[in-house]
Amino acid sequence: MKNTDTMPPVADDELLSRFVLHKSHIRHDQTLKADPFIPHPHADLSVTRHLGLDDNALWDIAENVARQIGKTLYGRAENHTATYQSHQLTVVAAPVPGNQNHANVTGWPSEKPAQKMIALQIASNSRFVSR
Amino acid sequence: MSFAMTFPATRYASALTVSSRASSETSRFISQKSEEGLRLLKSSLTFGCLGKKTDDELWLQFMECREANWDGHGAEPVAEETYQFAAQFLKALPLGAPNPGLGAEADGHLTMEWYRSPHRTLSASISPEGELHYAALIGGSKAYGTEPFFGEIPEAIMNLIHRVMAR
Repeated sequence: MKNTDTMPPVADDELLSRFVLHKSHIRHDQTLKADPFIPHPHADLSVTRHLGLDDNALWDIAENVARQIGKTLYGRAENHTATYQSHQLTVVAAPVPGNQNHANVTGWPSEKPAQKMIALQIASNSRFVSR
Repeated sequence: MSFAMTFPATRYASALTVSSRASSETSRFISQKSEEGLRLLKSSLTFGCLGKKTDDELWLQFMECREANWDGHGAEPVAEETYQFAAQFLKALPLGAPNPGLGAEADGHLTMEWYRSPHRTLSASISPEGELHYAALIGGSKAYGTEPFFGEIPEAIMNLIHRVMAR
């Protein structure tokens, strides 16, 4: 396991995943709605960095998150850091127990319509990977 | 059925439903009869099936999201008031208008989405206070804002539905 203090800053070209734990967030054509990208209840949006993880390790983290809260894992939404940055958002490493690759997307506007607009654009650039 | 084909009908249906604020006895009678007629139309085989399906989906969505943390990321529960507002919104949609896809957001708002492609989408969410927050991507242009919901579909949102779904 990596040391929390040694996690490098998040690079522009890193891949990030948002785990999808609710079926209604996925459209019939396997694209994603804006809904899973609305930052609530925190001002930040939780994502997991792909950094140093292979596909199996990434799914292990996702399954572990789902298991801990008793939810079904439907898949993950992948985006590059640059996608978030293009909306004046910042991605910061925020390791947590069980997921040293955890990161937060910060800098969201406080108004809901502005959040929705950004979420819709991020969703349109996302790649959904089904579990 | 395409939205373009049904738009004149939706305008007619809208005209039938604006009488909810009627105050005189005559206008109340007209309002009541109009709503009865509209209910009959919506329960008909042609117009009714999709509407019933959407109502059922909304109920299911509410039931799935009425407990806190329904999304696994600490979501707020969807309140009964939010469900009621969303149900009224769906009921207020003009006849022939395309039905939205339904969902929920982590702040406990219910969402309605009109979708043609990832870059041609309208998402509107309704809050427990009856506010409609919306955002739309229509090709290269975008629109977002907030409208109050007083029982009728705000013009700004109706226009965006038309623009997103137009062929």
